[in-house]
Amino acid sequence: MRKVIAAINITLDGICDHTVGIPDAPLHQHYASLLDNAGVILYGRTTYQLMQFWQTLLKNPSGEKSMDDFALAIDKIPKVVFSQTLKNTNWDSAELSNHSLEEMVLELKKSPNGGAKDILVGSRSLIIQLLNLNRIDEFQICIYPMLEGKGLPLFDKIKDRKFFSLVKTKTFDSGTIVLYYEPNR
Amino acid sequence: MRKLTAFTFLSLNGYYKGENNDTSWHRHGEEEGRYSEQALSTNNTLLFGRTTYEMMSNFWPTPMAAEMFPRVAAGMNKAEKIVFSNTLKTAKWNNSSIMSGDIAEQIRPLKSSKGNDLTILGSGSIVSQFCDAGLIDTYEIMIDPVALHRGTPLFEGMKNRLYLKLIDAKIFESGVVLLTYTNP
Repeated sequence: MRKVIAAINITLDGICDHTVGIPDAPLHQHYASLLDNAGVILYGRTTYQLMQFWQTLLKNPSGEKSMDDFALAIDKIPKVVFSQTLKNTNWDSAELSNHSLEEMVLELKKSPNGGAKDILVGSRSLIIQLLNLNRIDEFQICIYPMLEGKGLPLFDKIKDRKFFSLVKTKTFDSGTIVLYYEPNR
Repeated sequence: MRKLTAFTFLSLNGYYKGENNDTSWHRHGEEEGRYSEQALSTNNTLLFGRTTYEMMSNFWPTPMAAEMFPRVAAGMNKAEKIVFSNTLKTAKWNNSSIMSGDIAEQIRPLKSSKGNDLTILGSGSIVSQFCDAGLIDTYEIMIDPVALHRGTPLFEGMKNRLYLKLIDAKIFESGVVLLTYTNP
C-alpha cells in the first residue's frame, strides 16, 4: 500500500518555516529525488504559494542544475492543494481538493492514481492534522544546523504526545540531517 | 579557557520538558547511561538554572537514583555544581554553590579561569541567555523520538538566529539521536 510520508524542514529548536534555512545543491537533489519517486504531494495554501516560486524557474531556468532539476520535479508531480480561499491553482499539475484532508488521503490510498507511489505531505498544517488522525506512515524530519529562536513550532496543537521509531538517518556535508521515523501505533 | 558545553535531551519539536516539567518521555537506556557515565568521568563542572537544579537535586541524591543509575548518580553527586539563581538562599546538594546577578557577566571570568570544562544541563532560560551572549562552545543535543503536545522550548526567548556546525551524529538503539554542534 502507498505510504503517507510527511517530509518537512525544521531548525534544531523545532521551528518550521519554509523561508528559514539554507537548502544547498545536495538538499535540492535529495528533495527532487523524493518528488520523482512519489505519486502525489499534498499542500496547504501557505506552502503551496511558496512553492509556486518554482514556476518562475521553469520559465527562466537559473542555470544551477540542482535548482532547475527541482523545478522540473515539482512541476511533474501531481499536487493537491487544501484551501478555503484559493479559487484556482494557476498550475496545470496542481488541483484544489474538493474533499476533506482525511477523505482525500483515504481516497488516494485506495486509488491507482499515481500508481503505487507514495503520498507526500509537505505542509506543517496538514502534517499536524494527519498526525492527529494517525494517518501518517513515515516522517522525514530534516534538521537544519541552526537555532531560530522564534516562529511556528513543527508539532503545534497536536492532541497528545506521540512516540516514533527511528528508521534511519541521512547526514549532509552542510550539517543538515534527515531523521526518518515511523509512528508507533 | 574552559570550554562550555550545553547538554540536553529534546523532543523532536524542541521541548526539553513537557507539561509540568515532565521528562518521563526521555529514553534513558543502557547506551544513554554509558554516555552519561563517560561524560561525567571528565569531571566537568556542572551548571544549572534553578528549576533544573531543583529537579535534579531532588532526584540524584536519593536511594532510588543510586539503585537505578548507580554510576551516574555517584558522578552527579560528586561533581562540582553551580546553580544560577537570584532567589535560592542555600544549595544543599553536595558540592554545589550559588551564583547570582548578571550571569553572562559572571560566566566570562569563570570561563577564562583555570579549571575543568563546564557543562550546562537542561536549564532552558540559562541556555537561551548564553546562546545570545555567544558563550556556548558546544551543543550536545539528544533528540528523542517523540513529539510532545505541550512543553517548554529549550531555546525560548533567544533573540538572535544562530548558525551551527554539525560535528557528530550518534544513533542509539533506543532511537535517540545525539547531535553535536559547535559554532561555525
